[in-house]
Amino acid sequence: MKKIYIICYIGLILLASLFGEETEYDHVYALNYYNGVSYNSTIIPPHTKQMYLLADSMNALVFRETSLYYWSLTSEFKADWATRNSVVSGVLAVKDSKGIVQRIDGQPYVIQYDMRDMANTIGIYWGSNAFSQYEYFTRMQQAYNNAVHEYNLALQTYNNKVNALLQQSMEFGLSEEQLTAFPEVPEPPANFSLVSTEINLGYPIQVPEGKYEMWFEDIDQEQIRDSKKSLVAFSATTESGGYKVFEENRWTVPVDFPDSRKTLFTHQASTLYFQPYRYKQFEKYAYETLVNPQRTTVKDQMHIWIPLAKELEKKKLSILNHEITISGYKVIQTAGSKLGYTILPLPEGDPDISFTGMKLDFQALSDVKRFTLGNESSVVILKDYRGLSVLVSLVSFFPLLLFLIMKMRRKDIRHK
Amino acid sequence: MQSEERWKSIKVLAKHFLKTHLNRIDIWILASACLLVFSIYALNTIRTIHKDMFIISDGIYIMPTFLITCLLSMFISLLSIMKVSKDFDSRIYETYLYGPVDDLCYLTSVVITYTLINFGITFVLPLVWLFLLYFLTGIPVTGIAIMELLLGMSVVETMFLLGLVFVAKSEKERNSLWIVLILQFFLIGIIFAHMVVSTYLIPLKRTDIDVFKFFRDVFSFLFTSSRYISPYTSMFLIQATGQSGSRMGLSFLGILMIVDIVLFILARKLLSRKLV
Repeated sequence: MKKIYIICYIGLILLASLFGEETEYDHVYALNYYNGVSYNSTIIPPHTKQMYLLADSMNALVFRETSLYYWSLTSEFKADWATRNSVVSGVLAVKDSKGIVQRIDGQPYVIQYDMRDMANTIGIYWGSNAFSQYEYFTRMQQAYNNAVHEYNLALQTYNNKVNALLQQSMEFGLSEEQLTAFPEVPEPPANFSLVSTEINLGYPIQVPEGKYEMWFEDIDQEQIRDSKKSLVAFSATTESGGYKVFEENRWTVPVDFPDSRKTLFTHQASTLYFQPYRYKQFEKYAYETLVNPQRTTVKDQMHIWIPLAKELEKKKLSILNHEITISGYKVIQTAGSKLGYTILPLPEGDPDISFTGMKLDFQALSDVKRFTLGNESSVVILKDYRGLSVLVSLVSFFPLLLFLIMKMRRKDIRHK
Repeated sequence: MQSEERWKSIKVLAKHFLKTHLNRIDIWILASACLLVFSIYALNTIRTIHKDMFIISDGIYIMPTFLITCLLSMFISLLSIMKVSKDFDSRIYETYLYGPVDDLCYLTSVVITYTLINFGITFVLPLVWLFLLYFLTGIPVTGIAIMELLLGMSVVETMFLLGLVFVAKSEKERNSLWIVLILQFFLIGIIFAHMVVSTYLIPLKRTDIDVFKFFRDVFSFLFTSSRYISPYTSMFLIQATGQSGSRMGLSFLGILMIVDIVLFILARKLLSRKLV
C-alpha cells in the first residue's frame, strides 16, 4: 500500500512538471532617447503600440527579454532586469510612409558628455568610434587619477615642509631667506567632468520627421511577437531665447520664461535672478510621450517649452537706462540650527560660484514699470495691492447698484 | 416698405426691447456675475504674485474670458429664445405687424437688442474693469486681452444667432429652447470632459486592459473634431495655445462674422417661411 502511495506521489509530481507552466518572459524595447538636451532611458512594453522620437537625432534601441511588473504608484510597467535581462539578437526593421524598409544591425555604442557643458558636448558614438571614445575616457580617467595621486604627494610634501619650518621657527626662529622660500601650496587638479556609459549593444535609429512602422526580426528574418510599433518622429515647432527665473528666497526652484508671448508679473519688493537659456517648443503630447511612452493621456493641441542650454554669449540685459550684467553668486547656508541662506556676489570665474545670473532688484529699479525682453515677452511690475481685494470685489456689484439706483429714481418720478 | 421707415421701426422696436430688458434684474445680475468672475481670477493672480513673488503667464484673462463666454452664450441664447417664443405665444408679434413692422424689422430689432446686451456685458464692462484694474494694480490692458474679449463676444453672438435659427425653424418655439440648451451643454461639456478625462482617468490597478482607453479615445475624437464645428472648442484652443493676438485669432473672428451673417439670413428666411 505504501508503495502505491509513493508511486502515485511521484506520478503526480511528474504530471505537474509535464503540464506546469513554463516561465514566460516579456519582450521590451529598451530605448536610450535624445530629449533635446541629454540622453535618457526608458522601456516600451508590449502593450504600448506607439512611440515618439525626436526627428534627425540619434537614438539607441535594443530589444530585450525581461520580466515586467506593474508599478501602481506611477501606473506603469517596469522591467525587473535582475530576474531576466537578455538581448534578443536579430535585425531592427523600420518602414517609412513610402513603404521602404530599412534593416538596421546592432552595434556597440557609448554616450559621453562633459558635465560642465552637457548640451554642447553630449554625443553618442557607434562601432569602432565607441571603442576609441571609451578608451579616451578611460585614459582621461587614468590621467585624472594620476593627477590626484601626484597632488596628494605634493600636498604631503608641502605639509612636511611647513611642519619642518614651523618646528624650526619655534626652536630657532626663521631667517628672511627661509621666509621668502616658503613652499607654495600645490594646485589641485581640475575636477573630472567627463561622463561616459559602458560600451553597450544597440540599434542606431535616426529618422527624419514623419510616421514609420518598426519591428524586430530574429535571425531567421521572422518578426518577433510584440515587437511591432508605430513610430512618430517629430521636430521642434519653434525656437527662442529666454530665461530661467528664480526668486531670491527660492534659488533652487527656477521657472522657465521663454521669450515668446509670455508675461512675468512681479512686484516692487521682489529680487529676481535671470539666467539666459535657449528654448525649443515642442508639441506637448509628442514630447511627453517621448519621455514616457506608457503615458495614457489624450492627445491635445498644446505645446511645451524645453530649456536646452545656457546662452553663454548673453551677458547683459538693458532695461530703460539700466544695464544689468551677468555675474556669479555664492549661496552660503546660515550657520546654526536656523534654516536659511544668503546670496553673495562673486567675481566671474571664481570656483566657488553656486550659480550665474542677472540680479534684478526691483526696489533699485523703482522707475521701471514694464519692460520687454527683446522679442514678445514682457515683465510687469505691479503696484502695492493692499486693500484692493475689497475694492475690486465691490466693483463687481456696480451693475446691480446701477440697477437699484435706476429703479429708485423711477419710483421717485412715479411718486411725484 | 421704404428703408428709412423700416430703419425707424427697427430703432423704435429695439429701443423698446432694450428698455424692457434693462428694467429686469436678470441682465444686471448677469453683468455682475461676469465682473465677479474677472475679480476672483484677478485677485487670485495678484495674491499668488505676492505669495510667490512672481508668476509667468500666457495671459491672466484667458480663463475668465472663456468662462464668461460660456455663461453669457447660454443666458443670451435663452433670453432671446424666451423673448421670441413669448412674442409668438402671446400673439404680441401679431400686434407688431399692425404697425410698420415686418419680419425683417422684428428679427433685426431682436438681433440689435441682444447684440447690444452682449457688447455691453462681454466687452464694454470687462474692458472698463480691466482699465480700472490697470490704474489700481498696474496689470496692463494689452491688445491680446482686448482681442480675447472680442473673441468671447463673437462666440456669444454666433451662439445667440444659432438659437434664433432654431427658433425660426421649430414649430413650437419653446422646443428650440431645449435643443439650444442641450447643444450648448454638449459643446461646452466636450471641453470640460476632455480636460477631466485627459487629467484623471489613468489606470489605478494592475490590468493589461486599459479600461479608460475607450473614454479617452471617444473624448479625444469629440474634442478634436469639434474644433471645426464648435466655436467654444476653437476659442478654447486659440486661447490655450496663446494665439489670440495672432493671425489665427483674427481669422477666427472673421470666420465668426461670416457665420453670423449666414445665420442671420437663414433665420430671416426660416422666419418668413414660417409666417407664410
